[in-house]
Amino acid sequence: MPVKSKIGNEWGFEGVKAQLQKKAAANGAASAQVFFQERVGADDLGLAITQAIRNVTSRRSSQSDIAVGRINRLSKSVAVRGDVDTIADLLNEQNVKAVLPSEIDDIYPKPVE
Amino acid sequence: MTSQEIRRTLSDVGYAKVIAVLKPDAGLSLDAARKDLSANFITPDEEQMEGLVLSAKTFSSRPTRRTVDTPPKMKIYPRLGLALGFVDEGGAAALTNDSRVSKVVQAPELSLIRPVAMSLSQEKVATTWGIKRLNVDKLWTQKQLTGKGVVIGHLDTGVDGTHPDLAGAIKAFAEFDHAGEQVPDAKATDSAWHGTHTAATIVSRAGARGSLGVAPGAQLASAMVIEGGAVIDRILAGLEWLAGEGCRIVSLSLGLRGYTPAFEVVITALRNLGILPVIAIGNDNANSSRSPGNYVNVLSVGAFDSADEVAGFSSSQRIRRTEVPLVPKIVGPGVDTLSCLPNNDYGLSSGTSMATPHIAGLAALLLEAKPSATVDELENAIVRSARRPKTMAEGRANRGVPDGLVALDILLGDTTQIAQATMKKRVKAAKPPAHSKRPSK
Repeated sequence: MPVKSKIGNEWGFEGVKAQLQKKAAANGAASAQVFFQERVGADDLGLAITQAIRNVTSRRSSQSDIAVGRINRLSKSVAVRGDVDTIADLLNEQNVKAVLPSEIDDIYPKPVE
Repeated sequence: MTSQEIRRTLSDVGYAKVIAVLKPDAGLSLDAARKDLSANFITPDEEQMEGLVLSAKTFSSRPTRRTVDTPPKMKIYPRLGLALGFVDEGGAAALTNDSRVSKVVQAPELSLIRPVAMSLSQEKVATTWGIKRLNVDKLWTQKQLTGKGVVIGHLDTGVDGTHPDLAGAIKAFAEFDHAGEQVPDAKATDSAWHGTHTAATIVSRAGARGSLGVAPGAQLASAMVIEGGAVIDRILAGLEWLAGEGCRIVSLSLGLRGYTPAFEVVITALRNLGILPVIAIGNDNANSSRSPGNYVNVLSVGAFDSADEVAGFSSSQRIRRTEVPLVPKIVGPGVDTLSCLPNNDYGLSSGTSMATPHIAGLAALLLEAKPSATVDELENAIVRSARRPKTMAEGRANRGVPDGLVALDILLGDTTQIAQATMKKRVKAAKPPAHSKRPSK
């Protein structure tokens, strides 16, 4: 049976944190989308992000310095902006499926020669 | 101890690409020592590696000096004191404990920004090679299918609604600004050219240069969501908007390198809404793919050329999962595709971005024939119609090239075309080669 090919870990904790840092403003704030697991109801996303941020800041013993933006019901994701480390740490929340930086340079396969 | 990142990759995919930093006294000038160290490395998926070697030969500016077709398991850089290659779990542990190695780190995946390649064209055609290859022209003439009544979702750089070949083709347009907010009363414009090119491949009407659109009777709901700014927010907003525009298909020539589960929920939601996601797999050569194109529940599309060969740049990847372990599912015409450009112009471009709208357009033709078709039925018809020519390796093309006529028959439950396609294959297989000798009596 052939060995399966590398998927890559670009979007794991370290990868996401690096991307967020790259795009962070001078004050260290970055924008991201937090994607929740299927089990989180679309009507519960506001509560879910609040709880997730609370858990992280409690774990980090820090103030909540994350601003919550638009809620996307179809993708079960929420826009956030704030401290890079806190945002990246949201990946460790069990209800969080993924975190992506909002700004990504390489977003589509560029046409080739 | 193996690093956490390497352990995670090994757990996810079975092996990882690593750099072993060698101690100064590693003594690897001797072939025996090199061979011994090399034993810790493995050759990953053979077909993907063959694809990379083929790409190297194709794109090399001079004849390659490589005398064998298999890349070495380990590359040594003696001046840098580094060894590079793939390892499995056993190899990673052995390498970490090797007395000649000071540390083992995960090799970074560098992201090459490919040049945007598009050339203006004065070419005039009856229709494109890609449309003919998919038997789409026969769906037009023999089955009178044009995609009429079908709305296809299109997220890209926008679309130039003033192009004559797109008159009447854009049902709705939305622009999402760099913050992801919808711009009120936006007119159909293209912030670059890519969107016009892909849109026209789906729905352009017959024009000055010929019939370049696969589904000239269909319409687009198109949104400008790339490039620049908070693209993720823009894309998600675009998908939400599309869901309310009556789309049955969405054509996405975009994605993130590697694998992220971020879009799994929205892709499933689209399917549950009866929308078939048709998504480009990427232009990063063999052994690569992009998300969401590499998801199980999308119709992922690679690219092939007019010689029936998978394009060297077309991504393909085996993934450690039981369902859809190989992506893309199919390939579409994606080299030297003639389509519309902004400002009443035309041009050729190549990429899986060009292949994807071909398949989205094909899906629209099939939906016109059977509007009640479910997403699964539609996708199954396209995938089951596909045949892989001998010029394409399975690891690069998977099911191969769809056939519009066969797909239609599968969707409608008619076996005529399927039987004809099977008969053609049998006749071709039975026919002896021209140079073969008759056996002597």
